[in-house]
Amino acid sequence: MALFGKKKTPGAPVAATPAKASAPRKDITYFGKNMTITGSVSGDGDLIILGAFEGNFDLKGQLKIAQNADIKGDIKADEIAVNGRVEGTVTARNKIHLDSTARVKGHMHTPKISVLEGAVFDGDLQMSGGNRPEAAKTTPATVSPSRDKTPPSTARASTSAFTTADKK
Amino acid sequence: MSTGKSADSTSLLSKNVKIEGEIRGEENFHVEGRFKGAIKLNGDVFIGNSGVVEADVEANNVVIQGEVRGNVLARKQLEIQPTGKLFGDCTAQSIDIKEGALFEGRSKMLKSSPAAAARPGHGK
Repeated sequence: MALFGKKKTPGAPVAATPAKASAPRKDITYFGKNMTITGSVSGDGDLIILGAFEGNFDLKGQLKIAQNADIKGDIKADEIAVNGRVEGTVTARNKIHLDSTARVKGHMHTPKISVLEGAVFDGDLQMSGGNRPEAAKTTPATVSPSRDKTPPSTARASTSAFTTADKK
Repeated sequence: MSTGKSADSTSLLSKNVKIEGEIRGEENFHVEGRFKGAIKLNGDVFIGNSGVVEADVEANNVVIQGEVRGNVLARKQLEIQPTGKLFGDCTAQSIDIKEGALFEGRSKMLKSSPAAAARPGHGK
């Protein structure tokens, strides 16, 4: 009963305004479903993506991949929630959550993971200490340890293009 | 924000986020962060106070409150607000440059085609 009463309290600070979620929350980057992005995204803050994306993500914050989103490339964030489709490498510093509509193809690195029934995951998962999941990877490829921005195993053209462009 | 009838959802690039690459689609786009590359949208682009865009921008209406380095094509209207800076050429059907705004470049006007009969001046 107490719960029900609480719910309707008019004096409670009405924080949630569901009417227009995109514009007023100034810290959440939002990519709508009719937008296609190719390239690299980096920075601080949370991000919700509903559309198509091809490239690299490196984000300090939460990344939400909505149900109809389609992502190809390497993704790195503190927390990643997947509802859509992802192809590539997914690296989370804290955790990954795969919702029931998620479809992931590729590698995942994360210290913590939760997967709901219905999620599809094709690929491999690595869970290690959490600090440097990439470094723990045992690949015979020659890697210079100083450049931790580049995923060691994936010598993709897109990845290297990103890092060189970023050095500017 | 000036709205066309083209897109109903607005994407946001927030302050501390940077994109390098290309954006296409049918959306309105609000930039408060940094963007480098190219923007091609069937929608409106709003570059907010903290927005820095180094890109060619193509959209229906373009409002600049921040900084743009690149060429801007506004199929309808280009607006540079008092805090706005545009370094680059602009092409638009109508331009609105407020006092205090900075614009370095060439300007070219688009003829209003019969397809775009809805004059942007009326909607304002």
